[in-house]
Amino acid sequence: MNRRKFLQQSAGVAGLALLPSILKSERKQDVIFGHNNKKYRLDTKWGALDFGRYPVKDCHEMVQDSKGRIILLTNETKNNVIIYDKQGKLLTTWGSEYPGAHGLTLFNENGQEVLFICDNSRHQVIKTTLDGRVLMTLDYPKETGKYTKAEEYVPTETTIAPNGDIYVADGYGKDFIIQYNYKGEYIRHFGGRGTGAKFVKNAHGVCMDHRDKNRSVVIVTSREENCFKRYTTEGVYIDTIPLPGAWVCRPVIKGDYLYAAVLQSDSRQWMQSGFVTILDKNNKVVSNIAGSEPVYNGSTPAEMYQTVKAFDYPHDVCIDDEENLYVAQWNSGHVYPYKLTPVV
Amino acid sequence: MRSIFSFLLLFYSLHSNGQEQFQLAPPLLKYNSIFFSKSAQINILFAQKGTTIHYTLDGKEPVESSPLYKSPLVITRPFTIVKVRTFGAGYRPSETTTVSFIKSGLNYSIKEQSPASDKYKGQGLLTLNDNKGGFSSLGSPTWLGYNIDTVTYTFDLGKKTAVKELLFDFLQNEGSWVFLPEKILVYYAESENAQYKIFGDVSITPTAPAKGASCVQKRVQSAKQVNARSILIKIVPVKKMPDWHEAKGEHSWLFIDEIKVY
Repeated sequence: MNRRKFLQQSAGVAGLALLPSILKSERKQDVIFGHNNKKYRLDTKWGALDFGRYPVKDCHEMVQDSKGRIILLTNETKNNVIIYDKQGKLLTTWGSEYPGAHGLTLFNENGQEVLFICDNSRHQVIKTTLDGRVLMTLDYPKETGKYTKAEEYVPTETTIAPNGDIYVADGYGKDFIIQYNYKGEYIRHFGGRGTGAKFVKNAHGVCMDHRDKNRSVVIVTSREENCFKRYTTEGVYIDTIPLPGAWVCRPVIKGDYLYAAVLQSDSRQWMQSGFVTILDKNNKVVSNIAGSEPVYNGSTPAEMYQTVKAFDYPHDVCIDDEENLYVAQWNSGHVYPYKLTPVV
Repeated sequence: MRSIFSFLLLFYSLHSNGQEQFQLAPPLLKYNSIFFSKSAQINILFAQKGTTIHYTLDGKEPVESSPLYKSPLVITRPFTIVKVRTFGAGYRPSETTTVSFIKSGLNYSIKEQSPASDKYKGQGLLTLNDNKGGFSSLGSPTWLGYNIDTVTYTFDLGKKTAVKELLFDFLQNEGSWVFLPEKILVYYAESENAQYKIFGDVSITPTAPAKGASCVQKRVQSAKQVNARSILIKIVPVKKMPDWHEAKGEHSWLFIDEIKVY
């Protein structure tokens, strides 16, 4: 086949309907997202799959396993878990029993990697192997004395301490953080709603922070208050990391940095105004991807907001072993995850 | 040949990190209130390198040749529509953000006011004429929120006063069950004990759901200027939310933060 013939055939496949976008692309430029030492190029096609075969509803959360695979959790019961390689190639799928699949956490349990799935609809936390075999199920936490029925408990996230303790955030229920030991036995609860700094409003995420070698802390999202709150591992409130304007989802820690999907800008609610924020080890915002350049006058950043409509409603961010970012989105037209590659 | 050239461009664009031309978001607008007695100040922020903010005050869509925003705008005209948009090389311009600034009208005291819901009770009797409001956030303490069938207010102008128009500021946020009302009816009485007569009314036809949340002004005008001592207002909320709504058939909420009398 000569070159001309190849082009003609391929152009036929591409179709004439694409022509307007081709002309538009003549003006495009290489957009760099983010600020300071956290700048990225965005690939919106990274996770795209054949929707007929591998559909997604909300793409809620993502983690990377030790083999380098990227694991996506969606509330589409045709395939609750979709596993990609770093290039976006589909490796496998599993899961059909998680209609409210929301939170996904990976933990290395004495050499065996396990997953913790929070299911909003089942009002449960389910621990599984990487290929979906159920190892443990946590029902609603009666032991707290705060719940009378399962429906009051809508877990959104988990984080696992090095000793195996499980912290569950009841982010769409009563906003408590419930701590269990590795066997799933209740230890304590903290957070919840109320007036005062130690309480939270929409405890959407929870994460162990080991960046300070001398003291591990638990970071809890208070999404409607646009902040994170830090607690000791025993649930004693330490302080607040205010993030004005940012409806932050769960904190994700990689190296010295804390990353979080921002569902939306407070100034433009329910208008697809999300972005991604990155904090340094002092919990100071250093970069907003598709968001406003961070400005500090004192210890609290100026109100943050979306500046480029690259995302609708980012819901989670995953950072791989090569510092690439993957962004999963909620309610964003069944869009598959995006990938961001660092600009060096 | 042109199609081959175009195809090469397509091929290139698909293989260059999947980059696309993105749209800018609208800027962040900061103001104390959209209502003012002498003047209002509006700060516009957009912390994105290589972009500019352009605005108009005449109701026209801002274009790149519209005035460039450099410092806070000061509004003094009684009813000023501020339209703002961001532009930048390599991006599609943002959607336009529109905010109307409204000057105080006549003074009045409130004789009767339908009690608002406990959760959204604003500043009580001070809410409707305190020059505070115009924020599209449901949680703003400037809103009176109702989920009753008819919302009624009675105003006392203190003395017989010439009136020709009333202006209402509502919240529209259907996603949160907050709808514009179906109808606003206004009556007036020339003296404290006089019978109420019809001043005017306005019917609001529900449109397709608006995106997000916004403040919407509605006016009720009298056919001719009247002399009024008292004003009676009846606002009829949407009793059953339409079929397209996820909670169709349920009672909507009505949110109001200000009524101006001119």
